[in-house]
Amino acid sequence: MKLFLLLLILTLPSCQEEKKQAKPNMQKEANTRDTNEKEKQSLLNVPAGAVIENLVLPYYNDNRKKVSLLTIKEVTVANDARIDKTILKGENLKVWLFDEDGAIRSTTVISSADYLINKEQLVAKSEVLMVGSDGKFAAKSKGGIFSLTTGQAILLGPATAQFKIPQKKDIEAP
Amino acid sequence: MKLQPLILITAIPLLFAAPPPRVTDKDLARFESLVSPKERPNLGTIESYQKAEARNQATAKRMVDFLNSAGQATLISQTDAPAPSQDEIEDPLEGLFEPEPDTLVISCSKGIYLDGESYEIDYLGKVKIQGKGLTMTCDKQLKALFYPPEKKAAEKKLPPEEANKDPLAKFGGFGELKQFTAGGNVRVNGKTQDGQKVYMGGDNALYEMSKEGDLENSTITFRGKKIGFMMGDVTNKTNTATSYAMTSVSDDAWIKAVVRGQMLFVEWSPTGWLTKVGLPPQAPEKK
Repeated sequence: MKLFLLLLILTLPSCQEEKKQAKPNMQKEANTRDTNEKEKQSLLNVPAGAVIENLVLPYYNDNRKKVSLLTIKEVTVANDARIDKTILKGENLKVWLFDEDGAIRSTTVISSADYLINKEQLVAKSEVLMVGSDGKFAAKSKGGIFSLTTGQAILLGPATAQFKIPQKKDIEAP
Repeated sequence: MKLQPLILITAIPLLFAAPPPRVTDKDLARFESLVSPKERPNLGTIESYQKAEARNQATAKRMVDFLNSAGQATLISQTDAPAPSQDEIEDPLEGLFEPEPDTLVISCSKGIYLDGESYEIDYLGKVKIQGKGLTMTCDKQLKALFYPPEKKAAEKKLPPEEANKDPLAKFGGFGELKQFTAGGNVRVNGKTQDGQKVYMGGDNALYEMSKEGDLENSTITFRGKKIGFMMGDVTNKTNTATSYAMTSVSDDAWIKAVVRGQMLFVEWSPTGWLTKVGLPPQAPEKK
């Protein structure tokens, strides 16, 4: 059963060769939206309780620039309602957020979170640890919400962040 | 009695190294443009920022739209919970994010907002910054702005096809910290090299970092109503050094502190202050 589900998921366009497939965002034209709907419907064919492993969801913008990348080690279909309520519960998640040039801005590690299919949002109610890819920034919070189509995120408070500041010489006495 | 010259004299021990440039009208106008009620700080004329500057309104709307879609529409306006900006609140991170000489640690009560389209981070609610010997708190919002990360040479040479093959091929990060704008009961506490307490407070403040300079250099500027400044503790009768406290009585007052390494340079507007000076007890005359 698990293998079957895994195969089923692998047939989803959003999970095929992530480098080539561009998952359209919600603002695209009608035909693109139809494709999205099909993707969502095909997920709905998976019943509640099903477990999926190693799910990878890349998101691109209209210019085919990377916006975000979500990887989930283990996903359970928590709610397979067909209208606006499909929720996947994920364990061991990572979210990469990219800047306008497609360079990685941050990597976020989350132990468990809900993926809301209709909103394409990730809602974490557990500890969230975000690290800037240049190693100069780190942030930690007790939860967060990530919009995978727009690359926006809010780490819900109380939250703490740390910046590294380059060390410079002290002033010399005249 | 005119106290201004006296205060300048008492400040001389702090100013034994080359002082930073004096505050000009242009500096004050710039402060207003950065700190007065705006959705985002002025990004200057750096080419990389111009595009972002043009999108100021759109970006602010993006934040609101995002918070709405995330079910957090009331996050900014809702009553705040007890904040980590109060010293008695236990650090939820249990020492993991302790300030070190080369770090700034920022904690906030409501949340941290990030957007892939801009080089800034918003800290919502009550905010506390620790680092460089200073602690800064504010009640409303703190906005951190970054210089865009510089592209590495190898990355620049990569042909577009190669760059697109691997979704994790490029690492940009957030870049170097440029400035903070803080709003709502902003307070800065610290100590000078000789251990004297320093306090500054006001409604709005601008905290700027130098970029890749030879000197470690950061500047904190306050302007507007109810600015306060204290060096030492005027209420302590046993002080061995002169201390003084100032509060502004003019809406146009300003104060600027430049931190260079372990040294602090302070300059303030020439008028519009009430001042109290604490003199050390005089030693008995020797016979």
